[in-house]
This record gives sequence, C-alpha cells and structure tokens, in this order.
Amino acid sequence: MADVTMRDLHKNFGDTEVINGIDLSIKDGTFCVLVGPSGCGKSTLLRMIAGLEEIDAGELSIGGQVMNNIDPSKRGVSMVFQSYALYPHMTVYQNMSFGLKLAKTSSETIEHRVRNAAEILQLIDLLDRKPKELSGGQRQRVAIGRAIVRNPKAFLFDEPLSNLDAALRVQMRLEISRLHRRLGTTMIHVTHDQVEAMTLADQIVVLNQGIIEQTGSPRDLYDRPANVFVASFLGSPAMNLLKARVDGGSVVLDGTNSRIYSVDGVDRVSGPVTLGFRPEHVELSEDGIPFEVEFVEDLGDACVLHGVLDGGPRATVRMPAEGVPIFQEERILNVIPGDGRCHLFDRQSGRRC
Amino acid sequence: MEQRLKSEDTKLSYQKRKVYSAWLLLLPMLVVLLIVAIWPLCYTFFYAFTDASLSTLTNYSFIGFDNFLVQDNGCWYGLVADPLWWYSVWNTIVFAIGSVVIEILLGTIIALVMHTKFIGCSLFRAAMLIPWAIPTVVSAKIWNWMLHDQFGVIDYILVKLQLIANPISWLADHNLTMLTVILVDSWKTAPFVAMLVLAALQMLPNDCYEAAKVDGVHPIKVFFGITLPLIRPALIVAVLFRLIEALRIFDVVYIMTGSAESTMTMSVYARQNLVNFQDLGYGSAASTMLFIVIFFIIAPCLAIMRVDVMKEVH
Repeated sequence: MADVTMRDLHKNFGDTEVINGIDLSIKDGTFCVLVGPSGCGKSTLLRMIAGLEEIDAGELSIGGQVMNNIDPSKRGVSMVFQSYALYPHMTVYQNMSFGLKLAKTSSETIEHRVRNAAEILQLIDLLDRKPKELSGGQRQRVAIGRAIVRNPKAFLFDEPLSNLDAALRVQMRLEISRLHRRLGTTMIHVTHDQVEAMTLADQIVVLNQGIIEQTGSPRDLYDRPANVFVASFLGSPAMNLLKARVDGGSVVLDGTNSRIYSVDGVDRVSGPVTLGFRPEHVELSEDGIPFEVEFVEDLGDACVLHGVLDGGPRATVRMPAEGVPIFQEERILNVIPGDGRCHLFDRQSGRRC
Repeated sequence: MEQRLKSEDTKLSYQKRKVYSAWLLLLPMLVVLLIVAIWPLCYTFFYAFTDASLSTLTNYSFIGFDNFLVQDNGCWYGLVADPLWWYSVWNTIVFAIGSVVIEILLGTIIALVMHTKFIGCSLFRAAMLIPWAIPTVVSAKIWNWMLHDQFGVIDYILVKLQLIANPISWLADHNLTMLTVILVDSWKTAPFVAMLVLAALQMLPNDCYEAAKVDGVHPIKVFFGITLPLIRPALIVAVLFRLIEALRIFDVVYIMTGSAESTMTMSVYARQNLVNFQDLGYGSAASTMLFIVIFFIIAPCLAIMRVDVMKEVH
C-alpha cells in the first residue's frame, strides 16, 4: 500500500524529450489510468515508475521513499506487460512462483500465495499448463497472477488488454476492476483506449507529448475538459469543436448566422473562441440550427448522424434510436446543444474559458 | 450426387498435380545428389569387398569380408583387427567431443557478448566471422606457422612473457597435438555456433527479461532459468551440425599434423590407405566403417533431439 508521487519528472531518448515535466500524485489505493495517444509518453512514464527506464530529472517516490535510483525489484511494484511476458517454457505455477522462489520465500508461503492468486483469478485448473496451451485471456490472468503473488505496494499495468479481442477486453476490464476492489492496492494502468480509462479509473491522467493535459475523476474530465485536447480525446464519437465567436452574450458559429444562447461562461469572454459540445448532448428543437444529414450510422440503441450545420461547419450528433424514421440522409433536422452542455475554449491556447 | 463426385474427382487430380509438381521441382536436386553422393557412396561400399588397388583400378576380384576381418596362419588381419583403426576411432571421438564442447561454450559466450549493445559491436560481429570465412587450408597453415616451435609467434610471446621457459612443440609433441588441433578447430567453428545462438537470442521476447528485472531475478538465474531453456532448440541444432562435421574431420587434422598417429582420425586413416598405400579395397572398407560409425552415433542423437525439438515446437 503506497502513495506514488512524481515531481517534475523528465526523460529524453537522445534529443527527443519524451517526458517533459510530470507532476502527479496518486493516493494510496487509487486506480489511476494514464491515457493518451500513441507516443504521448504514457508507457515510458509507467516504465520509469517500474524502474525499467532511468529518470533523467525529477523525483519519484513510492510510499514516501525516493525511488529514483532503487533497483526495479526493490520498489515494491509488480508490472503486467501488454504481451503478458510469460516464460514460455514454464508452467502457470512455475511462472507465478519463479520470482518468489528466487527471493528465497519459503515453499509453504509460495504455495499459499500462488493458490490464493490462482483462486482469485480462476486459474486453479490451469496451474500445470504452459502458456502456449492457454487462451489470450487466460495468459493475461496468469500475468496478473504473477503480479499478485509478490504482494506489491502498487500494480503497474502496461496496456494489458490491448492484445485481447473486444468481448474479452470488456470481461477482463471488469475482472481488473473487481481485483482492485478486492485488493485495494494502488494500481496504475496505461491505455490508449478512452473507454477503458473512463470505466476503470478513479483518477484519469491525460497525457500528450510528455506533459499532463488534465488529471481528475472520469466525470470531471468528461464534464469539464480543461482544454481542446482533453475534450476531443475523451468521449466517442468525439466532441464537436467548432470555430465560433462570442458576440453579445451568445455564440455565433463561424460561416453561419446561427446563434447559440445559454452557454456557460459566455459572459467572461468575447471574440473568437472554439465551441465544443458532445454529439450525445444535442437535442432536436423546433427553433434549433438547421443540420443537413450526410451519413447515418445506426448503432441499434442510437444513431450517429454526420452532417453540416447551417451550410457551415461539419458536426456529429448522436440521437436516441426512437427517432430512426426521420434520420435519413439529405434530410434537414433542427438541432441545438442541450442547456449548459456547451464548452468554450480559447481559440489560441485551447484552454477552457 | 454426380456433381459432388465430379468435384471430388477434380480435387483428387489437383492433389495429384501438386504431388507431381513437387517431385518435378525436387528432381534436379535428386539427380545431383545421386551423382555426387549416392553413386560414390555405393561405389565405396562395392570396393570395400574387393582387393582393388589404386594403380590397377580395373583389375580386381571379390574377397568378401577379407578387408574387414580375415584369419591367416592363425593370425587375424583386416580393419577390425587393426589397432591403429581403433586408435583412429578413439581419436575421432575425443576430437569430436572436445571440439564440440569447446565450440558450444565459446560460441554461446561470443553470442551473448554480441547480443549486448556496445560501441563497435557491429565491427566485432563482422570480425568474429573471419575465422569461419577463411578456407580451412589457409587458416590451418597460418596456425601451423604461428605454432611453429622455432619461428612461431605463439611460443615467442609465451617465452617473452616468461610463461614458459622453452618453446613448446605444439605440433610434434604427441601429448599436445590433439589438444592443439581441437583448439584450432574450435577457433575456426565457434563463430558458426555463435551465429546460430545469436539468431536464437535475438528472437527471444524482451519483455520476459523486463519481467525478470521487476521480479528481481539475478542475472545468472536469468541466464540459466530463462535464456538457456529458450535457446535450447538452437543449441541442439548447433551440437548436431558440429558433431556430424567433427566425426568426419579431415582437413584441419591432415594439414596440421599429416598422418601422425597421435591425431589420426578415421578420415585420415582411410586416406592413408587409399592414397599412400594405394589400397583402394582396404581404404574403401575403412570409409564404409567410418560411415557406419557416424551413422550409429548420429542416428540415436537425431532421434532424441527430434523428439526434444518437436516437444519445444508444439
């Protein structure tokens, strides 16, 4: 059990700055998800915490102890790798006990811990199998089991679900959640999948180009994205981000005469802004903005419509399935973002106004 | 029904066509193999049962197993009764075991070094292959000169360093020649083993090593617990290749020590009888025995290793 704290962490690969000053504190027992696009440095950051990458500058502490120059095995963390990293020539039991055996743990303790972990992860019947005789999900569970037996202060997951197929991913996501509730240990989980981030995390950290764009609870980030990047990264389909200007207490979309009233924060700014609203927060309204439908994606429970707002910018809206008959291509609907569902961002800096 | 039969019919002919084309593609190789390997081999077996001489190739008669074993005036003669033959068998086995063990150890160490990244490692990799690339005749001659007891550079250095008082006759001292030949052969073929092992090392999953690092596994344990089991298939192949080569060793031994008894291998024995003594029948009998000895050593090895490798693969 331990807090994980980072102060101004830096990491370069040659001339490339990968981690560019990360300040982050993860409270004991938190499920923290590091999320971001490929190359944002999230895996590197995790590997720095694990000790697999050296820290160029800054300070990392786990449980109050500075870990910068401590050997990976002495940091009290367990890591689960994307490719499982199971030893191919060892059985499930040997895989899980290998690290313990070398740490000179007594054989009863090993037996007890492995059995215990195998029970949690439903691996009891598979203990004598080798990795190649297991399915992807089972391998992933073994990898997690190997992490559990070490009784770590923190678990580090490096995209553990991205090699699984969609159905299995959902199932393993639940299992990881359940595991976290059961063990109550700090977990740091890297993913590029924003759904995984939203569903698993107590605390999401959105990374981009080696810096933290925003950190907070999934709800915070969804409701109040701090900038354009976070706004567009979280949520599917992505948030509509349209060029607009604030003019006399309402927002006018560029290239149109359409006005949107009842936008939070409109009184604090004027001039050019970026207007954001989520596709799922758009409603049909008699006095709404004309929206010409170009494509319809029927998802069963809902429809995603892609089209043009008032002859100007493109936008995406998501509508409940009840309206299906009227969602047809080339049809013009009148739509409006819901009250208080619009976000204003500074045009230059991209920051929330 | 009729249609189904018809489709099965065409399927069969397709299968057959595939088999035919496979044989057709194999044919040139099979012909070459027949001419350069099978045919001479059969000829050797054939001559083994004659009293043919290299000078009178066409004039020979069948003498049955006389080349192998014959009783004359109460004394046993023939290959099986010749102590020198059995001595050469012994030498061959000593050479094979000695050189294969050293080559595998040395090759694995070289491969492990090459597997790490260091400044100039590509240069090292290229340089490492040189002993293997030089023709054996040339490298054996080079070693002959370096090991020469009067003009050789190795004795010179050892004496200068005061490690030895007087030059050692590496290639004349009966107690040393076998060791010398084994070391030179190991120097020459360790790169081959290193290449096989390096290829295997580079296929190993990196994440296993990172997992071991987080688990705090000691590097030596990592090698014996993870690396070694994972490269075992490659090592098995290397051992097999080297063992076959070592059992029929001729060039290094013959060039460095000629037909000296202390290093005489089965191949050198056969050559001596075939060429020096012009005894084609007897030499062929020795070659046939050489074939049989290698066969009986390699066949069980192959069987065991095949099972082993198969187990790894599946």
